[in-house]
Amino acid sequence: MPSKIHILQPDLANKIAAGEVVQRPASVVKELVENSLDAYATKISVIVKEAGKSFLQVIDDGEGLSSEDALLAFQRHATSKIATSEDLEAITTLGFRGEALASIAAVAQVEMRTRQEHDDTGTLIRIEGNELKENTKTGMERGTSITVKNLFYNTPARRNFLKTRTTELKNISDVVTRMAIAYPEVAWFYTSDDEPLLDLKPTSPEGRLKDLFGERQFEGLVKVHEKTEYLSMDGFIGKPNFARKSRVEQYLFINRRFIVNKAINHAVFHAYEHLLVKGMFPFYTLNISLDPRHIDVNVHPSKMEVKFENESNIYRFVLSVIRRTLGANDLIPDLTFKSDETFTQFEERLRFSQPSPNRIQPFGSPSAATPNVSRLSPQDSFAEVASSMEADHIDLDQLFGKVERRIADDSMRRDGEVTFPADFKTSGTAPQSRIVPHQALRAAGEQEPVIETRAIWQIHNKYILSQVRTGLLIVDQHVAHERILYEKILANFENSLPTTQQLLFPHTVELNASDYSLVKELAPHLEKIGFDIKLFGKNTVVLEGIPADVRIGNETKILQDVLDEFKNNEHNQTIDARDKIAKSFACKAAIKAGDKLNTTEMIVLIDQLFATSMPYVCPHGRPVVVKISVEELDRRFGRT
Amino acid sequence: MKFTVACSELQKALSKVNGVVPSKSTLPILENILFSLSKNMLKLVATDLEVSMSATIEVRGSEDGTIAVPAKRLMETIRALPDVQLVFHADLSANKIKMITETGEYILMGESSEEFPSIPQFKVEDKIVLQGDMLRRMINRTIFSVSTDELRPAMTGVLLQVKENELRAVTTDGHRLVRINYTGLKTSKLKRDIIVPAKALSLVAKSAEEGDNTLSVDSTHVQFTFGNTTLTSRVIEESYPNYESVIPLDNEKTLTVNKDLLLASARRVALYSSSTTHQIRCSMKKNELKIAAEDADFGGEAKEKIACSYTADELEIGFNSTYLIDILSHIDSDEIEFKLSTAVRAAIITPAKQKPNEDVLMLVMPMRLNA
Repeated sequence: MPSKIHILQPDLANKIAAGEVVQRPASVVKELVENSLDAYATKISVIVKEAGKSFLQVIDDGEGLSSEDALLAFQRHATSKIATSEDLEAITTLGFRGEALASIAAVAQVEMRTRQEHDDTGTLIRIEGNELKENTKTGMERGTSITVKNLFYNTPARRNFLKTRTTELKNISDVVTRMAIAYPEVAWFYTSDDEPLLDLKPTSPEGRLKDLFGERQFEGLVKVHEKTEYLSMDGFIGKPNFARKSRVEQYLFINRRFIVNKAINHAVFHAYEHLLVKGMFPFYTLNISLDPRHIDVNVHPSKMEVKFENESNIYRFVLSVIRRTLGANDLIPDLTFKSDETFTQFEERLRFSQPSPNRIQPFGSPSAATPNVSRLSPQDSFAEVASSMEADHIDLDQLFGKVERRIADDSMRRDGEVTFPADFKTSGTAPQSRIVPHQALRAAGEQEPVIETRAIWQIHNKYILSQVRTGLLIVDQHVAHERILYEKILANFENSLPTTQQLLFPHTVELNASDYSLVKELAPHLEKIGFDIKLFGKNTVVLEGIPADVRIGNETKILQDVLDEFKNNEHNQTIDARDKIAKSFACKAAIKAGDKLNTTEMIVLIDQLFATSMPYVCPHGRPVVVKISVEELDRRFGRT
Repeated sequence: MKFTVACSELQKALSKVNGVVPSKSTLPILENILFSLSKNMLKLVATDLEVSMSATIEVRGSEDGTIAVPAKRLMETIRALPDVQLVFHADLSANKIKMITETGEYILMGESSEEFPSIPQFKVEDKIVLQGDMLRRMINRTIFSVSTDELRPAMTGVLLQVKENELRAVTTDGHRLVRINYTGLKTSKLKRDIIVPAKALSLVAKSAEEGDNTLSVDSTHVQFTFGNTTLTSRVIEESYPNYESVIPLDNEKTLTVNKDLLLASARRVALYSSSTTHQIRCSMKKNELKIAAEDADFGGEAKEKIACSYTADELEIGFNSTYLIDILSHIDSDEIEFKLSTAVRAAIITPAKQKPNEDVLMLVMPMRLNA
């Protein structure tokens, strides 16, 4: 009887393997571009036709290959990138599996031209369906050019699965965009059907973002930089008003490799908290660098996933850094029409903040809560924009005075979080800094007199107006108070001992096996927040008491909510129900529109507002503060 | 449609049915009261689709008809008028209502009676007779602990059980429970237990009259009849939680205390309890009850001592002060008795001396004390 099992023919085996690596033209682009980057290319061109279905070419000026290596490169498991299994533990290149070229060659007609710096001639290799069709010498510049024609010509099933041209092209563009963000020092040239889509010169990370997303979008970004011994994180996050309705503009890189990671994504999203209206997602591009030994990229052939040695630490790190960055930046919606602003005006604003290094010195020392906060570096242009914005707070500071005292006895601050604009704090440690901006103003030829202190008015018993140097600040008194109370209540929740209301009719809750083990695991924590739970066995728990501050009814649902909350985000320590209570209580207890406030009350309100962790939006996500710049006023009055 | 009536008469009838009119409704017609005149009898009907109420009064009718009258404006007008004779005249084709007194004329726009939802037909299947004052008393003692949790509809009503000459009412919201028994009734029994929505019963408590009132039941509704007024309500078709099983029988620590003293004391101390949990602690040792509260949020605290009679082991137990105050203010007895067991088990509160034919039991779940 003939044996049933036999070894597959190499070409068939390769086709199967190709299925994992080469799913669509975009994956080919990704593999080839990664090779170029691993070969230290400084200029990469991506040329596609018919969304890469018929023609796709990646040209680089990298190291190139010798003629022997060129041939070997198409063998399965052939790579120059790793050699030993130790190398696999600490991958520093983008590729390492040694599969890409073989896989691509198995399902397309591939032509490779490559030349090393010191070689006399280049090599041209043509392979179709893993069969060598041509191997000759050719003349060319240093580097490698790989042309992939008629992708999936021999696997019709796969070809039929390709999406429309628009979709496939978008996928390719996404790949190129991600790479371009991660490698700003590389020049990128990208055309589709002879139409140039991107032509990017080597530049700084900031410059690359400006080139890709435009000046206007860039202005809505806040720089993120944080470094610890274990890892560092750099990048930009979007201000809440630049949030999008989808997650498309979220770029996460680990050691400059684009990856998808739900946990980190959630950490960023969570850091925004109520800054975002429901259904909106923040823009971000973040690169986390850490020792490759602490991560495992070898999870999936497409390398879009990474396993972390310690994911929850990274989660906390990202969460706190983003939160801090948001808290330290001016998020006041500005009513200027940015598109109208000329670059000269923009520069002028920069000039005002020249002496800013004084103010942006690290402020961690007095609180010790934030030892690792690196401040925005003054030399880079973005930081200057940010600090020129922050300069407003100096005026606020002068307006309302006594900020230091407030900070000193501010008890609402949570550990490890910067809860108010940096300037408030620095003013405590560097008193002279408050004078500096005004000297700077005069130096800059600014005619505006020093602002009269206590310039504050209430209009319609509803809004508080106050003058700041760059314009007019408008505060909605109700939401401002709401924000203050909300944080106060949450702080109280955290500090007070939990109380448990025992139930008359214990609720028997049947959980699924995973929830049950979660309850088991979380039992001490659940007790801490006020649940009285008895494990009954067989995936059943009996709820005998609930947190006393939770509304009567749907006790079971509250437990379920808490569990879900834990599943989605194991680091959250509060319960949603409490958050809701805090919100509704804050809303009810806050002063209403229509309540008359005297000057002292207004000052205290503004003082307290800017002492909260997020003075710019109320717990429900409505804006608290709106700023109208002098430029905008001038424009409105036709003074420009 | 035309009739003449004394304002005070009309007002009396209106104020009974007006309680049913919903203050806001997606169905605007429900904000009307239906007037139907047949000879000298005027019938007023109001409904919120769950509960309907009708009252009949005698008027001097001259032209039969029926029309829906806007409840709020009508009610306010009648209330504002002195007790004068009022001629009510409705032009049914235009739905225009004219009310004429000797000195004034008030015109308001009504709605066609056809718009008004029809009141469910009620077929009496079972019937008992209850004394008005007892009914009122029973409702007032129980209704405060009805649940407002729409997810557990059974608990949003009052459970009524009528056994051999005994009526029992039970309410609970899952944190406290009230059970009242009346014995010695000259009535038979109801075939099944019914759960009556709280709104219906609070209206009953307002309208119940001295003397005999009837309670009748059909398959889906319950009807109360007092004099010329009837109230019909849908019953809550859910099974009531097994309340008997949660009333502990073995609470052996007994504390007897003056109710007014305790109530006043609890009210004062509660002012210092946390505004979110309302927790107060009761510590009892030999013949002494100590009530204390502290408000961690705003840093206040209060404590009081009350003399009581208590001989069991020392016990400290926490309560939601609102629950405790609610319960104490619904017991009318000079002395009350607590029956307790541990700090996490239900506390039973009863009048030290029950009224004749009445047995009141109130129960409250404690709050677990932390540290």
